[in-house]
Amino acid sequence: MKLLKFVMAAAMAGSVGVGTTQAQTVVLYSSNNTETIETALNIIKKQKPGLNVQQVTGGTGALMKRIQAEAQNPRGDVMWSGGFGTLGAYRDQFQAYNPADAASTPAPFRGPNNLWIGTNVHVMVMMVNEKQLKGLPSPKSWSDLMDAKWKGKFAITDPSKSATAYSLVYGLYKQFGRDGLAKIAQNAVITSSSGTTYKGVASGEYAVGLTLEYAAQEFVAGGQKEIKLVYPSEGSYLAPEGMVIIKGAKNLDGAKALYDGLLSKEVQEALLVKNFRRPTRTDIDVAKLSGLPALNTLKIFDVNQEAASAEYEQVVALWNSLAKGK
Amino acid sequence: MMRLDIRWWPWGVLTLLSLVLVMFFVFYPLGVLFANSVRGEGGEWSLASFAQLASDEDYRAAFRNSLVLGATVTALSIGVGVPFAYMVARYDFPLKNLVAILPILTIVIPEIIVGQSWLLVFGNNGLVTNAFAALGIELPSFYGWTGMIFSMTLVYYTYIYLGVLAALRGFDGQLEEAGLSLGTPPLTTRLRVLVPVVLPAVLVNALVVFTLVVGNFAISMLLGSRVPLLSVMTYNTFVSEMGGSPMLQSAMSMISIAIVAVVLFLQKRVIERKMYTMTQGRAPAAERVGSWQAMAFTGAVGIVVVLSMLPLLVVFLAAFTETSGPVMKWGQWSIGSLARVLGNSPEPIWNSLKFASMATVIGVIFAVLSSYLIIKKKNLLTQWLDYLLVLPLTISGTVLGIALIQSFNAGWIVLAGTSAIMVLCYTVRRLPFAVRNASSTLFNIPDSIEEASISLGVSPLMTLFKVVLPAMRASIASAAILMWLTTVSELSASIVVYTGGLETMPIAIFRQVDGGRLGLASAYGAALVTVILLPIVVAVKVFRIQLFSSR
Repeated sequence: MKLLKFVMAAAMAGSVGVGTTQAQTVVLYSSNNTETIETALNIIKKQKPGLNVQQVTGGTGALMKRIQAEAQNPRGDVMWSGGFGTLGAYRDQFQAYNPADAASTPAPFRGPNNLWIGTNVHVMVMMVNEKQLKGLPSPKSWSDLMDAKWKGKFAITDPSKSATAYSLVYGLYKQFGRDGLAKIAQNAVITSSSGTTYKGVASGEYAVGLTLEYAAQEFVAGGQKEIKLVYPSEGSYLAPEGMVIIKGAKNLDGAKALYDGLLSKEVQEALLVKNFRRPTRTDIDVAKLSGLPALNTLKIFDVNQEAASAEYEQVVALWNSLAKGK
Repeated sequence: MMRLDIRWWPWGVLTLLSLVLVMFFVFYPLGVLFANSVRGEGGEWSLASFAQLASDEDYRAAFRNSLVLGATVTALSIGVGVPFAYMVARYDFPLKNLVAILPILTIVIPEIIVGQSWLLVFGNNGLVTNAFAALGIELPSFYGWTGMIFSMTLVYYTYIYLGVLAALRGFDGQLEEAGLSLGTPPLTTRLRVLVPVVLPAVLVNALVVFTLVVGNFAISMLLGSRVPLLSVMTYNTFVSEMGGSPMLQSAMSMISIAIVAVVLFLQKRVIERKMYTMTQGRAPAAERVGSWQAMAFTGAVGIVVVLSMLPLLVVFLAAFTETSGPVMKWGQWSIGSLARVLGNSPEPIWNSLKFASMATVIGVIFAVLSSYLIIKKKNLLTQWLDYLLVLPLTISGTVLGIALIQSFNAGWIVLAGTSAIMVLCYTVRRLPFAVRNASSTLFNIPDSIEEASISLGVSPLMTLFKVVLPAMRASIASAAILMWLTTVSELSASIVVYTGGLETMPIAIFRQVDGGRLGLASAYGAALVTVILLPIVVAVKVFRIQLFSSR
């Protein structure tokens, strides 16, 4: 019985140890990984010592559904971050806010009616593992991968499993149409999460992966020499991500302070240097700080995020039928 | 009049209460799942989802693969477990004690850690893979069949080993002597006498292993990305950002349940037909073996033990290894990962401790009460309680998670998103084990003690507290510890029901592995293993509880 008592005591200690409250507590919902959140919050802690940020983490989709479910009684104050398409679909749930610093971020990276602002922008790249090419020339363009010799050699993530993978597939569809997309779907190994794609390339399972720039760059920066990033000559696709203040936020002042902090040059620079999140601000020298090319030196194929969001069901269904047919 | 009073109060009422709880938290979710699988969006009855699954090429492949994987791993586990048990039961060789106890620890090491550490060793960027690559030798990919079969065998052979060992120890040596004295050659005697004794133990445990493999989530998810499997597919349908149709999820879940139900049915048939009752005889003494044989035995058994223990070592090494983002810098040591986990995001550790201890307390109380009712206060109702309490065994974690979330997500009782659903999930999933554990000593407590107490004027309820519970102390403690161990490492059900803020250690490990942070995952892994091993050490050393008695 002693043991039981001990266990009960431990259980009670556990439940007491959780909630600490302060005047300026703000709840951050975040879909970013723990390291990224850590980088940002460490700086914000110094910038705004009175601000106690509690975080709730989860996938973007799950957090958005949660915000919607809590609409009557919001428990979160700020959500950081979601793709612009996803944010558009939930726009009724957000509180407009025009930060003093808004002008530092160009208009295409700002949401309608100040509902959100871009905090970082993903660039879709080809992540190449040179050791695994085995005589094949490194691909230079998306259409290189449409050639039959690439069959089974490169990976792409199932667009129904990942929002960023959807941006990629949508871009390919807009640029190369149904036929181009069909060839990619025929040749690719389709993975069930973004992580599987870039980890698979890093570990040598696939020679090439169509994936996120930051994720590929982590392996380069970590010292894996065989990993190279290729920005396709036909143009990369952008997938900007933004943050919002949740409508009805309990601590609106705290939410604004956190929002300003996350947008600040200091935080965005740190996120670039430590986590390779490409900033949306124009006053940061990306090439100098990180070894990634500056955005204006890259060829970009423009994709309308709103349209991408609107055509989601249809494009995913098309992809599924093309992928099934092989 | 008096008798009827005693029958309904307190035991009848308590039985009803337990039944209602089990009906509501176990039977009802399964009912919801079943209803969802045969009801279309408009609420009409339809088998459309089953038809859709039957016509789905990928699903049929997954179905086939799961059965093939189950059969292969089961066969290999028998191949490893039976000789192992035979050697331990019948021979004496150096280091035997160590070698005999260690495999039991493999049941305790969370599967997620097993999967993850084999990736660290044999994964495409693993220690051994890289070492061979440096020599110019390319090892075949560990992902897929090879890795899954290899690591699952090393986890599940333990079940066969323990079952067969118990059977061999309960074996009456005189039978063999009788055979020999009748002039049958030794080898034939052994085969003729031992096989019927060991066979039921092998078959029963083989079926257990088969269901565990088919329901396995952690290892399948980590190592089987290119092989479609039922458990992974069911999970993926659930987490899909498209929201996945509840009907399809439910139909998939029902099929998984059906597979296990068939296996359980077979198991029952096997036990009834093949069970021999053996008068408790003396097992033959272990035979000392000569030097070359001793070395061979120690070597063979040692390799298996080392391989099944290796994950523990690897996790601790990796937890103290320097990392740069996703890249592990083997050979450079650092406490960076541990500091990050303990300093910046210790919530999963607290959550795990909190949920597991709550589930342990609730589970043990419930298990003690219900096993007492089932064994000591038999009636029609307790019979039903007994049947219902076995139900969670037929459901894989993923399916249980889906059933609970579908049942308690909306309506008049909403548990989704709260700690309650995590605790519920843990409790339901592991309850059958706790009940079995609590029952074990109850059979040995004679009714006469209780009757004596009652006839001396102590009320039945007080008798339970004053007489029965103290006598059950050891089994309550071991039920509590086993409940704790198995809940604290639970992944497959909790990963389905958890939401932000409810992350536990196994979930954190899973997410870090998914995000490519093997260093951080290992740091959580080291914390988890510590939390698991501490109570065992305390129980065995301080309280002298026989946790792993192999009988």
